Amino acid sequence: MLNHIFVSYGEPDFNKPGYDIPGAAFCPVLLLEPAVAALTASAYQYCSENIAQPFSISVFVNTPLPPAFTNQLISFFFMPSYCRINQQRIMFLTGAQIDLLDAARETILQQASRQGIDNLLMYSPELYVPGMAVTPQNEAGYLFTDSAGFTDYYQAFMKTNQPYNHIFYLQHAGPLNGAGLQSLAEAINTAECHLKTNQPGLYELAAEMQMLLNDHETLKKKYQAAENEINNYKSHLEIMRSAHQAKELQEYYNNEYEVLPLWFKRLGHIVKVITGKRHFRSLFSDNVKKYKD
Amino acid sequence: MINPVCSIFFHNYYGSHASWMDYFAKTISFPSNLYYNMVEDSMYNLADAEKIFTGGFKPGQQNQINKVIVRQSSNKGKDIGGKMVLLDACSQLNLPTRYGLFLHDKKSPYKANNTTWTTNLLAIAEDGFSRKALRLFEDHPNTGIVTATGNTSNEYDHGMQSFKSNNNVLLTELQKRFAISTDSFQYVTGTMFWFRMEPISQFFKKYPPLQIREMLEQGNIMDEYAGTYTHSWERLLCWIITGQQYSIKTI
Repeated sequence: MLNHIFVSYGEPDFNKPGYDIPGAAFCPVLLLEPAVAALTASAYQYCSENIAQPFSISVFVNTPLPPAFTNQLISFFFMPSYCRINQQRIMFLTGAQIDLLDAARETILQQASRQGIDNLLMYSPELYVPGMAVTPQNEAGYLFTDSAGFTDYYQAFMKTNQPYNHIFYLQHAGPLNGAGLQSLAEAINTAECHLKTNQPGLYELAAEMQMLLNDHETLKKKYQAAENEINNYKSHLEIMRSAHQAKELQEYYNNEYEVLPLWFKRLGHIVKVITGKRHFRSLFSDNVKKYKD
Repeated sequence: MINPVCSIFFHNYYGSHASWMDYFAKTISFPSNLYYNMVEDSMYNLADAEKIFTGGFKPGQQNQINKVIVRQSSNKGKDIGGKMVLLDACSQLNLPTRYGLFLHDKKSPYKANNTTWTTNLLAIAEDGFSRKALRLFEDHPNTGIVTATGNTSNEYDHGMQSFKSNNNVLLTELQKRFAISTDSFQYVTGTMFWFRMEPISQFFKKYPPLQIREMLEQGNIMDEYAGTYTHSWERLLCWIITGQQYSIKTI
């Protein structure tokens, strides 16, 4: 896929079989409402059980976020199946009140950061009304509420001069069944195939660009991890060189063994042979295995 | 399905997930839930992808692991931070068990005797030890923690009324802040031990694990030169239990 498409559909029922129908065309989004704690709890359960199913989260903000909800929300970010784009977790905030949305965004970002999650991408898309301009943007510009409106827009978007690497969010108002999801996936594919047929060069470049961006982020992360590991080893060496166990061991050896007279040490080696801890021939040659395993 | 007896909390920094899953499948001999945390920004985990969890491991098929609950966190608070993430998952999922086991893939490359130490610590998961530990819990209701002989330490100096540790100030502060009061300041070095879940659950109901994780340091922090919240919580995890009138037993 040339873009990152996120879809939430219908009333969430995480106990219903087949909730996780969509294929690779888009990522399912769980709709959470801060006031409905049971919904968050069942979504958490669902995602824990379905670790192979990528997901993202959208929060409908119509009141200040209760601390208990924010705590639960953060717990989702630790799931390996939480959707990441170029190593960044992504989530959506929807609601009509800008001040509440801003406050919610700030709260979630701060709390995530306190857990070491500094790369959270949060989007609050504007509600799409048919006829709005089709423009390439670097964020989820519009919130689509029906799949027909979205697929029309997506087809038009494929004709812009930068039809790749964007984020789209479709929050389907009514339930989408398996057939609806399937036809949505097909419509996305058709739109992209249209571009592939009409502008194969652009399509190839866009696909390549997607792959390279992902590789770039992965390599950046690996570089950072390798740098951290080198620093860890520097600290370990520093500790080992300072007053440390190696020194303690050396002191123990000096005090307990090194101070003994040579004849006593030699006698000790003979005792080792007698007690079966050392090979007899090793007393006379360095080429013989010294100690028994 | 038999109700799991134990929750295993395992933190992984050094990757090799396939080997670890194999280890748990072979080693754990009674019904358990396995909570498995991977450090996402560890060089080893970046190389060793987590694909094993998306189809490679079949819980409950030929082993005693009923559920595998996987989490992925940043390197904050080392294994203590990872264990807090897992305790949070345990509390959110509400899968009660009677006993718990803390483990991690300890290496401590800066310790001279690291291999021996790690072997001793991991031995507590082996079948023989596990059975003895569970028997101790069953027979002695006041036993809160079980570990191998030689894995405990006590830094409290009764004469000075303080800890002979770089963490002294932090330990005193945290005990007061989280109302952790214990007569014995014995703790398990390396934070790998068997424990009774009840006192741990009681404590973390009051103080959510992720709230505690917030204060832990980022990265592979060490306490050789100065105290850290991470190393202080290593000790406090034991005192949470001993502070509720339970004792530490060694085998």
